[in-house]
Parts: sequence; C-alpha cells; structure tokens
Amino acid sequence: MSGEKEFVQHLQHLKIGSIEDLLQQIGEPGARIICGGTDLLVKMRSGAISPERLLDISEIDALRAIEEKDGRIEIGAAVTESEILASELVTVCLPLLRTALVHLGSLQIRNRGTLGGNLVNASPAADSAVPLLLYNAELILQRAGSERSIPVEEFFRGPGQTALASGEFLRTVSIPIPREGFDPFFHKVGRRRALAIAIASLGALLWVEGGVVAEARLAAGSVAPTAIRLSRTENLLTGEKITPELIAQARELAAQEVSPITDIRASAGYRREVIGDLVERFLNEVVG
Amino acid sequence: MNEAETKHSNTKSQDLSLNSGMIGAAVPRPDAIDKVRGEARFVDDLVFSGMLHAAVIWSEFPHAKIRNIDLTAIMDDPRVVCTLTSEEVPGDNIVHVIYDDQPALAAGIVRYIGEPIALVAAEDRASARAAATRALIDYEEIPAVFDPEEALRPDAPLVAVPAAVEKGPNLFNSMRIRKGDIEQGFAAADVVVEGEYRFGYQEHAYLETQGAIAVPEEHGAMAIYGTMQCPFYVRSAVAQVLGLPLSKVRVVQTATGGAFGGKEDVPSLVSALAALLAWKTRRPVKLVYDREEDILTTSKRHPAVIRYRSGAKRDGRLTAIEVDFIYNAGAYQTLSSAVLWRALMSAAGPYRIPHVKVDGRMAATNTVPNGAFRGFGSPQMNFAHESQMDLLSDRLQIDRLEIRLRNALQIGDETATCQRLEESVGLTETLEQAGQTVDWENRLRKIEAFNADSHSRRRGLGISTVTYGVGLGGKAPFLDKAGAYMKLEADGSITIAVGTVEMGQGLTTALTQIAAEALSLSPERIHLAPVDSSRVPDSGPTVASRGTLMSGLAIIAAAEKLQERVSSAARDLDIPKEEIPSRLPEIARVFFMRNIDPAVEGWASGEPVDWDPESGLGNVYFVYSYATHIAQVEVDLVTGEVNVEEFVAVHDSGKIVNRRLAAGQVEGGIAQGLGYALMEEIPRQGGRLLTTGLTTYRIPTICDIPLRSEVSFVEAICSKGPFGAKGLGEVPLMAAHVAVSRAVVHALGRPITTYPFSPERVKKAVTMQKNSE
Ligand SMILES: Cc1cc2nc3c(=O)[nH]c(=O)nc-3n(C[C@H](O)[C@H](O)[C@H](O)COP(=O)(O)OP(=O)(O)OC[C@H]3O[C@@H](n4cnc5c(N)ncnc54)[C@H](O)[C@@H]3O)c2cc1C
Repeated sequence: MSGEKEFVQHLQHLKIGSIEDLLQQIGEPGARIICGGTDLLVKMRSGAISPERLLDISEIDALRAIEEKDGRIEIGAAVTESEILASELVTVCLPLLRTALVHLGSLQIRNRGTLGGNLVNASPAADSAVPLLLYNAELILQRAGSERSIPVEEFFRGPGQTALASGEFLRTVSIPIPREGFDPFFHKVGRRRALAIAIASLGALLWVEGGVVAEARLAAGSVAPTAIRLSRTENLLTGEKITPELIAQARELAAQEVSPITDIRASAGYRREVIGDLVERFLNEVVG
Repeated sequence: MNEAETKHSNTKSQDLSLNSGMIGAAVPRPDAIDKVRGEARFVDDLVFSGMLHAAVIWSEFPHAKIRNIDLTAIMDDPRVVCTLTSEEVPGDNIVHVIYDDQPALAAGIVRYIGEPIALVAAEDRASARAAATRALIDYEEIPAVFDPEEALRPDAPLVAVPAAVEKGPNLFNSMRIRKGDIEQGFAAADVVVEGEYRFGYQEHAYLETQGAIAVPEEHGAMAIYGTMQCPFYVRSAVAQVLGLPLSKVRVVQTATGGAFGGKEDVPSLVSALAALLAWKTRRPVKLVYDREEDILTTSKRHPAVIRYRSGAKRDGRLTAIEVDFIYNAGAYQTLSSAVLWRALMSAAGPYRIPHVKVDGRMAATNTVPNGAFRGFGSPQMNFAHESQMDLLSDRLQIDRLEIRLRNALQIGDETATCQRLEESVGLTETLEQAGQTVDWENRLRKIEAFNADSHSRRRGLGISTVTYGVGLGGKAPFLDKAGAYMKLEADGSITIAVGTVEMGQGLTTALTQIAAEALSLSPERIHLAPVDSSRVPDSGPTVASRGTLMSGLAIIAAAEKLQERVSSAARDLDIPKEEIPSRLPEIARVFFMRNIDPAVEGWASGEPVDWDPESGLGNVYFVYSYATHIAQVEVDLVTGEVNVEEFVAVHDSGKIVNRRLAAGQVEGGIAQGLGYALMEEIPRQGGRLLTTGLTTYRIPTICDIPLRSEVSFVEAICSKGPFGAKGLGEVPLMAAHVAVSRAVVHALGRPITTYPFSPERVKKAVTMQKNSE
C-alpha cells in the first residue's frame, strides 16, 4: 500500500562466472549477492533494501557441488534445496537435513532457494539452521585473499545478522558425518503444511551408551533471535539415564532456555510451552 | 490433460447431448483450457490504446478530519497526467450499495484506514504508484472505535453518518425474530445449554485482485471492463458518480479469477474510481489493486460475537432457542444490512423449533467495511447452532447424528420464521447418507480405540448440518429477476446472453447445459456471450447461489419462445419434430430468407416471498438447500496442529446440472472452510489490520486438503427450479468449516468457541483440559 517501488528500474543483474569474478565485484558499493532470490526479491519489493547491482552467483560451478571429503559432506552455497533433497549422500548421511528441508516453502521455492541464501538471510525460522546446528556444521567464508571457517552457531548474530564481514561471502557448508545414533527427531510447527514459516521448531540427535546418554544435541528455531542449541538442556541429559523425572526436568529447562517473542504468528508463551513439550515428546520416543 | 485427451472428452459430451440427458452430465467447462494455458484474459491483461494507470491515495488513519490535501509534489513527474479529489466528482460523491453513506472519495473526513482520498493517473503504473506516495494529507485524528461491542456503548465515538444508522448511535441495523413464546419454550425444556461464539475476519483471497478499466466512448458514454459479480451494481454506481443516465454506461465483465462475494459490492467502488479519472482525462484508465491494497482496503467476512441458548426435551427435541448477536460492519453500510438479515434467517439452523427469539445487531466501527462472503453471514451462525446441538447431545447423552435426525426439518414442518416447507427437503437424506458413508457408529468406536492407545495425538469426528435459503429472499424481492437473450444465427448456431456471471464457479457450463437441454441441441452449437450490461435487462447480482437458478429459468423461458418459432418454420418445411435439432441450419436459413425474427428474450422473476420486520416471520425464501458434512481430524496435543484426514459431504441442491462442477464447488468449499476453521486470521491493532499479504494470511494449500474425501448428492427435486435444480455455491463452505472445528472439539473433549482453531488455541484447550483432569 506504501506504493510499489519500481525496484527494477536502475538495477543491474550480472551473472557471475567464477569465484575470482565474484571477489572482484563483491566489495563494490551498491552490489549485493543474489542466488535464488527468494528472500532478496521479497525484501527489494517491499523497499526494505534497494541494491543497485545484483551479483548472481547461482551458476558458479564451484558453489554448486555436494561432495564427500574426509568424513565430511561439503555443500556449495548455491546448491538448491531441491538438489539437496535429491542427493543420495544427504539422504544417507544427513537424514535430518533432508527432513527439515522437505517442509521448506513449496516445491517452486525449493527449486530456486539455496542453502547459502537460507543461512545468510539468517531468519530465526530458517529451516536449514536447526539441522546444521545439530550436525555441528562449519561454514567456510571467503574474501579476497583469505578464507576462514566458523561453526554455524557463531555465524548467526541476530535476526538478519551474520558474522559475514564486508566483501566476504559464504562458499561452502561443511558437515561432519555423524556416527549412528537414535532416530533423529524434527518437528516444525506451522499453521499449514506447506509454505509455512515455522512458528517453532525442534530438532534432536541423541546417543546412548551403557544405558546413559552419551551425547545429546537439541536445537530450536523461531524461539530466539537466532536458531539456537539448547545447551543447558543438553548438559542436563548428558551422562544420565532417561527417567520420567529427567524428562520432566528437561521439558522445564528447555522451555526456560528459549527466549521467544510474541508476533503475528504466535505468542511467546505458546512457543515456550511447545518447545518444552516437544523435548518431552522426543525423549519419550527415545525411551520407547 | 493433453490435447488428445481434451478432444476425447469433448467428443464424449457431444455423444451425451445427442441422446439429450444434458442435465447431470459431467460436461467439461469450456473456459478450463484457456485458464490452464494462461490464455484467459483477465482485466489486467487488457490494454486500450492511450490507456492511463491509476493509483489511489488511501487514508492512513482510522478516524480523522482531513484539514488539507496537498498534491503538488505528485505532479513533479512528467509521466503523471492528473490528480483528482472529491471536489471534482461530477455526479454524486456516493457509491450506492444499499444506503448512500459511502463516498467514492473521502470528503473532509476518513472513517477507516484504507479509505480512498484522492486519485492519480499516470502513463504507467509504477509512476502512478510512486506519485501517490508523494501526497501530503494533513489529518486531525479524532476518537475512534474498533470493537463492535464497544461501539454500541452509549459513550462510544460516533462512526457513521446519521443517514446510515437506522437504529441508534453506531447501530447500522437491528433485526429480530419472534416465534411462539420463548418463556414457555424454555419452561418446557428439560435441559438448557448456553454458548458464546467469537469470530474474526475471513479474507476472500481470490486469485485475481480487484481491478477495472474505464473507457470513454462516443456521445459521452462510459464503458467499464472489470472483474466482478454484479455488472448492474457497477453500472448504477458509475452512472451516479459521473452523473450519467444508466443508458450511457456499459459494463463488461472480464474473465474473473474468483470472487466469493468479495466482488459483489467492491467493484462498484473500484470502477467508480477508474471512471472518475477516465472522465477527467477522456482516456482509458486502468486501476488494479495489488494484494496488499486488496487485503487492507476491501471487504471481508464480518467478525462476530454470538450468544446462544437452546432448550430441549429429554428425548433431544428442541423446545426453544434464544440468540443474540453482533456483527462488525466496519465504517460503511455496504451490504451489511443484507448480511444481517441472512444471519438472522440462519440462526436456527435446519431444525424444527417451536419457540424462537433472535436479535441481531450490525455495529459501525472505524474499520474496513465488511461485506459479502460465501455464506453471507451464515457461516458464523452455522458454527453456533451446531455447537449448541453438540452441547445438547453431550448433556442428554444422545448421539450427535441421532439428535440432529430427531430435529431435522421435513416436508410439512415450519421453519423458525413460520414458513411451511412444501417440497424439496432432502435434509434427513443428507444426514443418513453421510452417516452411512463414514459408517458413523463403527467409526466412533474406532476413534475411541485409537485415542485410548495414543499418548499425544487424538482423533475426532465432527458433524455439521446446515440449510441455506436460495436466492435473495424476502428482504429484497425486487432484486430477484434475470433476463436472457437468445438468438438463432443464420447458420443454426445459438447465441445467448445473460446478466449473471461466470466467476470460476462454472455458470457458463451449467447454463449451456440447461440451454442445450431446453433446445434439444448439442452444447457445441450454443455460445454464451461475455456478460455485457447492454445486452440484457438488469438481472440482479450473481450472489446468493442464484446464478444457475435464475438465469437458467430465463434461458428456459427464452428457449420455449424460440422453439415455438422454430417448430412453426419446421412445419412449413415438412421437417418432422425429431429431425429439428439435426436440420436446424436449414431452418435457420429459412428464418434468414423470410425475415423471421430470430431473437427472443426470456425473463425470470423470483417466486413470491415475504417477510414481516416486526415479528421477523414470513415465507422468506421460496426453497432451501441442505447439506451434511462429516470430517475426521487428528490433533497433535503437543503442538495443537490439526490434520484433516477425511471428509464426507452430502448435499441436497435439487437436481444437479453438472456433477463434475458441483463436486468441484463442494471440494472448493471444503478447502475454504478448512482455512476458516483452522488457519485464516487477521489480527487487528486498533484500526490497523496486521496481515498485509499471503505470507501472513494463510489459506490452505493442496497439502492441507484431506486425502480422502467423498462428495455425493441427494436430489430433492424443486419444482420451481430449472429442471429441478436449487442453489449450491455457498452451502459447501457453511457446512465444511463447522465439521472441521466440531471434529477438533470432539477430539479434545473440550469446547473451543473462538475462531480460528489455531495451533495456539487448540494447545491452550489441551492444557486446560489437562489441568481440569
Ligand atoms: C513463498 C516463500 C516461502 C518460503 N518458505 C520458507 C520456509 O518454509 N522456510 C525457510 O527457511 N525459508 C523460506 N523461505 C525463504 C527462502 O526461500 C529461503 O531462505 C531460501 O533458502 C533463500 O535462498 P535464495 O537462494 O533464494 O536466497 P537469496 O534471496 O538469493 O539471498 C538471500 C540473502 O542471502 C544473500 N546471499 C545469498 N547467497 C549468499 C552467499 N553465498 N554468500 C553471501 N551472501 C549470500 C543475499 O545477498 C541475500 O541477502 C520462503 C520464501 C518464500 C518467498
């Protein structure tokens, strides 16, 4: 209603052919990376941002591969969600990533949207964030003359905020293949089954040795400024035998650990309660 | 469907038509292929030479005096052609719907956020929209009221113009029903149950947003092309705003991408705005709303609060109901008084009740005016009356299907308005057939077993049964008419024009079938021309599930006249009766050579209806449609999410003209009902609506539609309908949303009384249930 800006009027759209080309252009004022455009174009249409030059990285081969390397799966930033879902490697080694992405947007969105775009957009509701947090993924960031690798947990800084420095881009997501454990758990709460931004989501991985929890990983989306690991609840569970009392404690703690807001989709109270109850559901499933 | 298959099904319909039997056949719709291929031309696809684009400057405050309108900065751009404010309106600054309270452009005061204040025309849309943002409006905010109950308190700020409030401050209208003696009714009851039910908005979310093109024609006339349900409403509105006689305004309905009631009154405003700019510039002007404008500034289903008390005997028979309700009309009357009336007529549900007291009020608030939406005030009532039946069932320990059967209206019964039902009451059959289809008792046992076994998921079965008076009814009988124009062309083809519109519901197909049946011709010989107000007399609105019925009757009347002429020509030519259809080209040629008049007109006028406002009683509709829906849901007790697993829908809409299209209407109603019950919500902060697009206003997608759904029809023939047909369009939504929400309540064993049943509301009910156990 504010009056649709004619946002394409003075806009340049450049297809970038290689990482070298990208590094040359990325620092230019008014330049912005576009991959699938499913987040960026929405923001441009609403007038929230108005770049002058779009650097389209969607056809850079070096960003388009899914590979296995030294016990890790490496996914290029420009790989689409549909491609991830079709990948045998991901299905076998990273089933939770698959489960989470199956419910992202709709088929059309997944055909365009990319893993890199989803992460850099840094929505607290980004569907790839929870599985990547659980898998202890590392993000490989590159800029002219240097490259660094940071844990995904440190990448998110707040809603729409990341650790990317200016002139830096996300090249690869590198994920250690986890050892066998309990069936992974994932639940995304939405008001409908497709095209639903998560109201809250919970994912979990768990390993039990000798009757006690050897390691627990829990992560939640849409219940804090970024997707987060529930580390206090993880600590509570580690080294313990899962009993009804422990489940009740974990439920309480998880609900305390998150810091949701009330927005147009749901209230903070509901989100808190749902996270606790989903932790309970997961642990009940583990006990059987 | 690929081309080969399409052809195949076309041939099939031809075969059907040869041995007549058009009525009921699954004739494929002629517009489907165009739409699927993207070839149908919607209003925004049309271009006229020299056409300008319009943008609207909308009110940013819910209630404010306009101290000054400064549009100078708008003209900075050479692509901007002109601006326009209320002072320049050549005719009356009024968009007439039922009352004359709504201005085309706000004059001195705005009453809701999104009210049009001024217009811009530019050479292209982007320039027009960009220019509109440069308007400087100086507002002086004045006290406002948004909640309908607060609006009716004596100290509330006054919203409406005096001419529009019939019954008191901020009270647009009140209406009532008084049947029997309510005290006696409750005294005779063994149990009394009470409920309070609350509803928010529902947005139409049609695929195609509102839009119109106004094209100046010769001799000072104006043509309007637009997406709409009611070309004759648009014609009156444009004529009044421009100060033109009706004969100088021509309205053409373009391919319409859904309407659901949302294009009943709003296109009058949209077209009037486009017409004002076209009048001023003498150039064609296109005005198309974007989604945000459409959601924020156009009508929706009325938010409502309903208080309901029902009394029944131990055996479940209803003795009395007392209903009190308030609907939120928004800032202008538009269709609200008609919506209020239908809500009143729907309050009792499809039940036999000796003592009835209903009071309905329509409150004015500083919010967007609400209007028509599939069901027209009924859906809120449907949830209320069905919730009450379930409460009674629970209290009396009588099965939910059984208690409905015991109270279901039958031929010979009296409705809540003391109307005796003479024919065509298939209600009991819908209940029985729906029950049989799901295997009701066994199904309930299975669900019980599932629930006993399941820790955090629970299933439920919901049933709802509804009735809907077909046509416009006793409040505005003068609107219930329709014309049809029919012409035998020289090659034996038939051209038909009607005044009710195709908006996706399949009217063109149904009417073609009716014409084919009436003329004993194959449907390929018949062409329905696009609706153009200059071709037929005022045929009333395409609403109230009346399109097939009224235009169908008009077509039959026309066909009878044409048949007569054709038969007499055939006699002259010694053509035997059975050969007329195949030799029609020969006959048509004779019409042409001998100057026989080949054109006829058909006319249909609604059956007599009446209503007494004092008692609220009368023979209010000439016939009723009925439906029973049963839904099975699974509720996730941890998250409050609801999955609709299965649906059974049984309808009595009289004779079904086209089974495939009718089933499509029902399936669409199930989807739309499911959205209303579970997901669709517009939070409001003061006078501001917080959902501005389809990202946050969630309608169901294909993934939410139940995997198993069975649609069937019992056909209680209506002697007054075309080939026995009644109306269908609105009924599916009315029944569907209630079956879903009641299924959730059944699953939880605890009532929820506020719409929609969002995960959060459902979860809250689960928690309360746990705490009470
Ligand atoms: C209808 C709809 C439904 C959606 N539903 C969901 C959903 O259910 N769940 C969900 O999580 N998301 C959803 N989204 C959001 C979006 O589709 C995803 O976040 C998607 O993964 C974004 O990828 P993209 O390639 O389209 O990103 P783009 O829009 O191209 O880019 C997003 C941002 O990341 C930057 N960027 C992209 N790649 C890089 C890179 N390699 N290095 C540095 N910066 C980069 C861009 O500059 C931009 O700021 C939805 C979007 C739409 C329109």
